Amino acid sequence: MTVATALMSAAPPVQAERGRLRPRRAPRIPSNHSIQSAVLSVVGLALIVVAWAIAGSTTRFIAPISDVLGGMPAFLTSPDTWTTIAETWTRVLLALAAGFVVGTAVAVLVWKTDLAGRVAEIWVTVFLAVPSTISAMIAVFLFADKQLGAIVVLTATVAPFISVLMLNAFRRLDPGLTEMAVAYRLSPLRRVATVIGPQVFPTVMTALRNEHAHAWKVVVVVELFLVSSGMGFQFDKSFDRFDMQAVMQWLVVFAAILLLTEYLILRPLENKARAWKGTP
Amino acid sequence: MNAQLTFAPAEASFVELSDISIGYGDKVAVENVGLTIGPGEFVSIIGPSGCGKSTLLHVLAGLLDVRSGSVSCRDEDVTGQVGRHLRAGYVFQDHRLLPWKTVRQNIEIAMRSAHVPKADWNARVERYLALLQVSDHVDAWPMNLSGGQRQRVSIARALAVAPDVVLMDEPFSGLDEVTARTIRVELDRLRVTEAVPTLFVTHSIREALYLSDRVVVFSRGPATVLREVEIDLPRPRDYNDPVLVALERELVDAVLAVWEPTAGQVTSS
Repeated sequence: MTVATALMSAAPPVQAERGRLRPRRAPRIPSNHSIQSAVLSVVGLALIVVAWAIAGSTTRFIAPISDVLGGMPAFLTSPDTWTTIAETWTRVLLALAAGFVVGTAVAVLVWKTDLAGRVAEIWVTVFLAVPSTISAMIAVFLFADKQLGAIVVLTATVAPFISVLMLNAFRRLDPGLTEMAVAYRLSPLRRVATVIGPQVFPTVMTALRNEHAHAWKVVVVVELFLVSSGMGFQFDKSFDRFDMQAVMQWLVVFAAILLLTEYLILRPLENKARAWKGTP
Repeated sequence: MNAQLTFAPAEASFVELSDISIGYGDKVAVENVGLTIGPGEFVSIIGPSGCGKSTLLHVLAGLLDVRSGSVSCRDEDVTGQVGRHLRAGYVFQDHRLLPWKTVRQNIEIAMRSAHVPKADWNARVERYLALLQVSDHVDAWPMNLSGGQRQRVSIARALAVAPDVVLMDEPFSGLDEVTARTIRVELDRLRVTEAVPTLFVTHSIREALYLSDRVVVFSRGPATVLREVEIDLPRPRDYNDPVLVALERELVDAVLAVWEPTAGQVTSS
């Protein structure tokens, strides 16, 4: 027995149990395209760092890169930093969850009903046009509970965009598969889970990615106007004190959260769910 | 052997459509049509494009209700409740498999909804995929199969749900001729062991004659039944059987003037 055959015979039986296994796929080897893409991303990031280094040494209002990074360990080990991040993150996640519920419900209403759908469509158009700064200012007067107000403003900001995307996805559903599902008597729940869900999933991911970034940008404004906590409030406080090092540190954390969420959560999730697109 | 153009005698029916009319909005697709499918009988409907053949399948699949007339199954009136009383296995023109589910999962989803006992799933999946010669692809994604293989899986799914009736809507029209012929032969062989009542819609007269126990000829839309032809040939059959060739010629001559009034002096060759 050669080493190769010994290793193969020692491997677990892949098809031992019926039905619970996915088709075998070859181990993933990075393609030239993905390597090129990674190199370009690193170059892009390096250029930002270079621009920052130049701006930091030539202006007063951008803190030097060495000062910012040098203060990072103390900044990141402070419990206050993580409490602030958690406050903002909670607001973003709650608003995204509420935005998906409201946005999808409105999309279904517009898709499935005539009169109510038209009314909802007009509301969506109006809310799309309202700047989030204005929403935040109005919320100052509308909500005694500022924490709730912040979530509502964020939800009102992301929900219309989610609604528009989801409506397009519903309108693009394959009528042939819907007909198949009816002919084979799939229950409404199973239709949603196995026929509709996978078709709208790419749109859900697009909406999640877009509105996650959108919510992070808007939450800073909302926290600045409405509440005395969170990253937006800290930005404002640092800027008032002209503590540009703290401003830049918050900015780095802000960008890191967005990038890490994108590359460690959203993209892997999307790739996994698209495995059925098949191997060449 | 009695393979000639005759009106079919009335027999005990498994499914019976009596004097039904079907429409979409203002349009009448099918008008006063009567059709029976006997136990284990393979019935084909042929007719010109847009005459309402597929509409009839939609009624039996519970996708559409009739405007008038009645539908009965095993002598019980099921008008307006066809979906609840008749379990159909449907083979569409295209495969309509869920691309994000494997071949096995596609069949299991249909069986689950048809309330096939879970203990039988594995045996049924293996049996029908083997009969359709695609058992090697049981854990493959549909996107990685050829068009012919997908349609074989689609037929396997229709049979695996333990259907009362199998409905086939031009299942070979999207395939190349060689693949279509191969699957037709398999379908003919299947009839020897799996005589499920089947309603088959096609444009191809030869295909209908080759596969069917009875062929129903529809008029232009709104469809009415022009005639019924019994094909009393033993199975397995030969696609180029001279009897089928002669029957095809006879049938083409009989329906051409009705289907294509402008055809004038054109004759079959």
